Amino acid sequence: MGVLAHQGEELLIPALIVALVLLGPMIKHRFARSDEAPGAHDPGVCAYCGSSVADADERCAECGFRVRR
Amino acid sequence: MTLAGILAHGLGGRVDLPVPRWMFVFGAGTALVVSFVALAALWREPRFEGRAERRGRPSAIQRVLTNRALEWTIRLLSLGFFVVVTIASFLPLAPTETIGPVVVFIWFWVGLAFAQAFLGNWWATLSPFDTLGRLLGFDESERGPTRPYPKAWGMWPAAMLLFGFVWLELADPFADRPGTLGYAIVGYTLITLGGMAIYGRRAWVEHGEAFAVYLGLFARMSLLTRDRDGLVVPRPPLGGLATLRPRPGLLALILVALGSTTFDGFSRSSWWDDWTGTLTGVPETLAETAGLLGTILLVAGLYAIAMLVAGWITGEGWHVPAVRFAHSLVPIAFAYVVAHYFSFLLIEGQIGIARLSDPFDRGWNLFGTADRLVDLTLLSATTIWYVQVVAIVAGHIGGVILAHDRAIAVYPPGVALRTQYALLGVMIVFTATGLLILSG
Repeated sequence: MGVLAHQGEELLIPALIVALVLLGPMIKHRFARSDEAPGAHDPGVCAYCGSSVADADERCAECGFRVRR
Repeated sequence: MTLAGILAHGLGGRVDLPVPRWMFVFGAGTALVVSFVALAALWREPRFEGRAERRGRPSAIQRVLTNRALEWTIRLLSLGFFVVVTIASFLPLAPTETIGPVVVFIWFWVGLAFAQAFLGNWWATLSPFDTLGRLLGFDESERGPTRPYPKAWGMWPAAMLLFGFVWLELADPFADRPGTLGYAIVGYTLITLGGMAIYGRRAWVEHGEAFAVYLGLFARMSLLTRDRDGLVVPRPPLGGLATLRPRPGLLALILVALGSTTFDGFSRSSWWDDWTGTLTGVPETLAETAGLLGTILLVAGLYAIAMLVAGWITGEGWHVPAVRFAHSLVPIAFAYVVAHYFSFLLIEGQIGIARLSDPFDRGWNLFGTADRLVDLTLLSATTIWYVQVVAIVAGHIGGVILAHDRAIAVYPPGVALRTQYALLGVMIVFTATGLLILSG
């Protein structure tokens, strides 16, 4: 059993390397910044609740979150 | 020894399981992944977000449920019981000898959480603070314009007061001074009435009354709610959480709830006992405080990492998605309440039945239950473990569903799923950790 377990460990490392090489680009793509996402929000809309905010407002009048840094 | 500890928190006993515990952890993680994949394939349109409000129809049952005389009878009975519990909480006796700590830490803190999650917002009627606010004329409509509640404060007052309560419960700095709970209740009542007096009853209940906000979150999971006319109407389970409005401090409050329950479980494990078992007095309180704060920050940190990844994908930063998906943590917080405290409610909660007949330990037997003994055979250790596993898995699946529903409502189809990967990872970590703590 011990020998088999040891051989298992030796197989595991190459298998992991192969998996990373094959899956790496896919993982990278999955966590890449999206072009479709809202991204930089419309400055006239609160990103938290979607209410309209005036240029002069530091905080959203509806939800109270800070909308200007 | 915490108050909960004094109340003989939790049950021991041999657990007979068909497979090792680590298999439950593995199975729970797998269930989450399978749920996530199934949601991605089958749940393509938002079902909770933007759902039309259902309206009730007048009927005989509705007339009873909306009867003002009945409502005020319940309010005044609850207020009277609150006065009894407060007086009992001042008595310098062991926690199980009066009705005070049993009602506060078991019936109210745990029992009401269950009632809220399954049956709706009972606290809105039972709350003695709300009733006092109404009786004292702190309603916005009665006293004309009040000082406007600062929007920037959001729910931070409720979050801080909730932390104060869990600190009192878990770090228990006054363990050697029975009767301190009474001062805490009066102090909290004064803060609440002060908040209502300055900002109006409704504004304070929605933002500053810690228990109204905390228990109100669980009520949003229930199948029952009231429409704008006050009529009771059904809704899908968890559906009310999708209508939770974002507020500063709301996420902090949810993380306090989640982290404190996690720490309560951890502080009863053999690992924590190995570290702090020899401490007493102030060092013990400091260790418990550090453990409580550390656990809340750890939970917050893991969630923030998941939101950092989501925010990186959407280009929004971490904070906007963290607020956006905060509601998905509520079923998990409730699952932890079930997993950690349901045996506490059913077993130790029985002490309260005896104390009802003799609330001040004066030798009374008002309802004939003073000599009632606790039935320890009500639950076996194996039953408790199965309930814990089901609760933890169901709570996390509920969280995954809510987050998925919001993601597909807010983000384009190609992006929504990708924002959820890291959150799924964190939920698997929460699930595994939760089960390991419960079995440790």
